[in-house]
Amino acid sequence: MIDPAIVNTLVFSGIAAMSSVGLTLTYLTTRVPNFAHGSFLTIGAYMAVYWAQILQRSPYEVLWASALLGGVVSVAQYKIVLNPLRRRGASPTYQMIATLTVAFFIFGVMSILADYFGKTYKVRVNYIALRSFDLEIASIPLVMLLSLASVILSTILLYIFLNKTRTGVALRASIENPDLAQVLGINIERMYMLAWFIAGSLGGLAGLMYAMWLPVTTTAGDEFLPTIFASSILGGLSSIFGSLAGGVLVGAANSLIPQMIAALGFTEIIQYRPIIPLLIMSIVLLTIPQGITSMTIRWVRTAR
Amino acid sequence: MISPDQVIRFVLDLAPWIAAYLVISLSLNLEYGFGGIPNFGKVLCVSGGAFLVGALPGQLIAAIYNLGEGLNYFDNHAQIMPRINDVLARDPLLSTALLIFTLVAAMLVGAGLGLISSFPSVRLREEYLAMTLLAMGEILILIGDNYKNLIGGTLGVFVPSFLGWIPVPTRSYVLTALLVGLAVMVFIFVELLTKSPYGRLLKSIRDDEVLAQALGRDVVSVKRKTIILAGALAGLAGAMLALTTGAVNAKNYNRANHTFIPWVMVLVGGAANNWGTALGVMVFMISSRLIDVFKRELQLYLPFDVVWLTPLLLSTTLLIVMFFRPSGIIPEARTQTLKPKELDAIKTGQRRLSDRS
Repeated sequence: MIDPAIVNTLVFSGIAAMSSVGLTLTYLTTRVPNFAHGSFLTIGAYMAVYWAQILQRSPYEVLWASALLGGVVSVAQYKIVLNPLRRRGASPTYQMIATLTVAFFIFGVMSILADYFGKTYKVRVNYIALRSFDLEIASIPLVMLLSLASVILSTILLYIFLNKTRTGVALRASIENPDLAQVLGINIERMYMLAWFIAGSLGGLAGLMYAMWLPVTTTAGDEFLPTIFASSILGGLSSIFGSLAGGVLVGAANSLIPQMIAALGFTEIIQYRPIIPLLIMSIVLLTIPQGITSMTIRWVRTAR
Repeated sequence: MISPDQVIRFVLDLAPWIAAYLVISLSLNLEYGFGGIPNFGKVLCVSGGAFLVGALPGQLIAAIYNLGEGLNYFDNHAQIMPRINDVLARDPLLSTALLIFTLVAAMLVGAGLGLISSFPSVRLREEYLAMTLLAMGEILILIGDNYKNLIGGTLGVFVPSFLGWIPVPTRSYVLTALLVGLAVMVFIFVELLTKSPYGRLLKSIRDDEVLAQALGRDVVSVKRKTIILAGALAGLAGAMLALTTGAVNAKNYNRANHTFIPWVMVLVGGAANNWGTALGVMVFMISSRLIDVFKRELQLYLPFDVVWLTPLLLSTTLLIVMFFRPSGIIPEARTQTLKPKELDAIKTGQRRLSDRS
């Protein structure tokens, strides 16, 4: 039997990394943090919850659906709300409020669905974790393996995609210099939509992992948002691989620090754990505002 | 048919809420509309004020009159609270003094929290700032929900009855009048403030920070003062909410109700325009209460709880306003500039600036 603390750390890190890499990706395209990013997690999580609770089948069967749904909603948000607003010359604050509005809208839809499904099929849809549906491979919960695999795979795949494929290079070009990319015949709109789709589907995937391990409510994603922000900021907010690393670190800190404090005998403190991402955020902003990736670059430079 | 009695009850129910939300929205308008500071953590100062009302006055009275007899205030809440209310009901002067003290203390707490949140606010860029403030907003709620000895943890606490000395039917009228009076005072204050040189300075910083700095203004200090002031107002609003509900529970304070909804009110009504903000508050509160009133009729046709329609309606309304009327229902008033003739007259000394018609 594997120590639950290790599973907890790995799953949490995976969720944080998957969601923060998406946030960073969308931030790079619009230069506005997406306050509705947590909602993609909620969507992915509830896809799994309904599948498992109503049909009594393994949530892993809808892994693809969680990711697809998250991606589609994400693209819809960009296409229907953010992009038209940007074209009208809305200020960053205005766009941020718009993302907050989308989060509120999705919260409404998710609440209606939860209410409807809960009443119609007489199943529990709130405060529910799907741990009982999880499989075990050599007494290791599958969600932990999924979390590990998704972090490693998405790092490798994103690296290959962004550096070795034409589309990936075009995407980076559209982010770094939209005007020049357009001159070279790149359809930057399509590239941005692709970025939002990747971000949303990673969010949906993170949501499914969330539902497999932690209790889900219709505000689960919104409550997770500070953690996502902390991860992205730790990664520098404009570095994709930085935010992957940031997610792993924040996720680990989120479950390791309370455990260490509890081991010292202060068990009361565990409940204040949501403060940890905030502390990380403040420390990073005060000491290394450009994130950990800037630190390594500086370090490499001085080493040379 | 609707009887006049029902209308009076509707107004009495609604007025305290309108008053409290008017104060929150005005403070946000001061920060965002006039100062350009995107405060996405409005709930921080509001919950601060509300929690103070739950935590301080009751314990104070219990300590002074030794009502707790060594018992924990929160564990034996149901026992101690009636005794506190008894003491307050017998002594109108004490009740009034305590009420005023509580309101001032709530404003101080709000100002203190504002000061804390002003440290990142004056340094960070817009998007970093918004993310930080949003995350900071949840801290106090989290502590209130988990730490039993602040406001009773998950169970919450009752607010002492400050108006217990007034007989029952008039009591609610007095409370409503008090809250509405406070809101009107805040409105006049903010209106005068934003029309003053300070208000114009704030707008100039919003429009061009570098220019204001080049003209010798201390941008950081002005921004900090604004955030502290808005925090104090938000704290007062939190206290007003606590007085309205008569109880404080951390669960009732959240990002949606105390950050997002004031933003909706300000943006729908019109940012940088206090009348617009007031209109936004009215429109929003009245329509959401009407949905509540006609809930039962609607419920017959829907397979889910009607309350969940409110987020959908709200967000759709806000998006429509953002798309088609980005400056809100009542846009910001244009700054009055002098006509060239008047300017010449002032330059040659024939007229003084204060003579402006």
